[in-house]
Amino acid sequence: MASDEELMRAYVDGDSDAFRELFMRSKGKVYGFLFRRLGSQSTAEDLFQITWLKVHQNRASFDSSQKFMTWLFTIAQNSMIDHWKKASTRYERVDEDLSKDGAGHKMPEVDAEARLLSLESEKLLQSAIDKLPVAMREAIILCDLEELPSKEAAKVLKKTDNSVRQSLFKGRKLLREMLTIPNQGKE
Amino acid sequence: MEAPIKLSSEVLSAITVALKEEKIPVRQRIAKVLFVSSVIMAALSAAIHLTLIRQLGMGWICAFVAWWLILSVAFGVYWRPVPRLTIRGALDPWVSAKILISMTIATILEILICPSFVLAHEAIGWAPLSSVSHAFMSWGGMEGCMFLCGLIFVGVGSGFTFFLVRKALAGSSSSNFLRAVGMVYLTQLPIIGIQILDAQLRSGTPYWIAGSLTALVCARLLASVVGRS
Repeated sequence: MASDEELMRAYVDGDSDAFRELFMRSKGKVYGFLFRRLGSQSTAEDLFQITWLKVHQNRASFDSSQKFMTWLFTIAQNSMIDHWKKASTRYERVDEDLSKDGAGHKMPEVDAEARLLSLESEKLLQSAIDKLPVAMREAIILCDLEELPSKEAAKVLKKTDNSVRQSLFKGRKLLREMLTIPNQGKE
Repeated sequence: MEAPIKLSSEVLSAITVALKEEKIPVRQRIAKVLFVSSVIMAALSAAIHLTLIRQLGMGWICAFVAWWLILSVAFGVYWRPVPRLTIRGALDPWVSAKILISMTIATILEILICPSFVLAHEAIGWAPLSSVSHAFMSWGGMEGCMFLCGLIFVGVGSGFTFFLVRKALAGSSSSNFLRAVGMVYLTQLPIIGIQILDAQLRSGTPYWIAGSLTALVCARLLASVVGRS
């Protein structure tokens, strides 16, 4: 079976079958990464399209010594950062309007769709992940959920391997605490 | 986690189509663009020639050439080998091209039934909407009639066009919407030119433009409501 990098090289040369195979292999991971980070199905769908559009536009710049998954997640991560930059400008404006009206501060909250996760356990996990600090959340999503090695996750997040490992360790610990049902008999 | 099936198939198909299109030689693509835009313009200008048998002057020929150029450029952009993915709030070049194509065709089709231009009813019995025109004239005179004409003419065309690109316009920024409005007006320039050249219609042109602007403001309000919902 061809590796992701071999398929990517064929895709760069215009092989649509190679692209199809590459897409089928990685679409779930990219979508999962975006959905878990954003918590909104509609925004995740938009950024999923933007990510693949950027993959297509920048495919010639793919460095074949690099891992495809790292490159792909870096594009997804950058698309998300761009989205947040745009969104924060928009929300600043909304906040200004609301404060003028005397209304309370409204945080950029996730869509209602986010709460429609099909499995109860996934719902619990997702809400626990959402409560984690950003660095820990990023590390957990990339390493534990998308199964990227910490070194590759560090490249995506533009951090050192050690700092990702640390975030991962702390994040797992916090998640365990959040997901453990408290003993009712215990004070 | 699995990506939604519809979304995945859209992305997959857009990129595989783009990869196939990349293999088509540039000359062949240009020939396709020129052929399609010429066929569309030939059909529409022939239809206008039939209904405007007395009026087809230099102004109209210039208008046909302008529309043909707009269509050719728009088809050229539309058929560039890029993935044609519709992303909410993103007015990509191919979406802009879609606006130009749709608006140009809608404009020419509207001319075919516009009572201001249709003068061949004596020759071929073609006089649609003349009662509407009379009603407008009796209600608001020439100025009121031109205002309502602009409102309906641009309102119907842009309404149809914006409906086609509703996903790209939904939640779009004001600058993107202004770009879309600019493209709508680009396709209307030949019509405005024809009105200015026509001694009878010239005085009403500012009212026509005011009506068309009102239609576009309404379209913007509608788009923002759709975007919010």
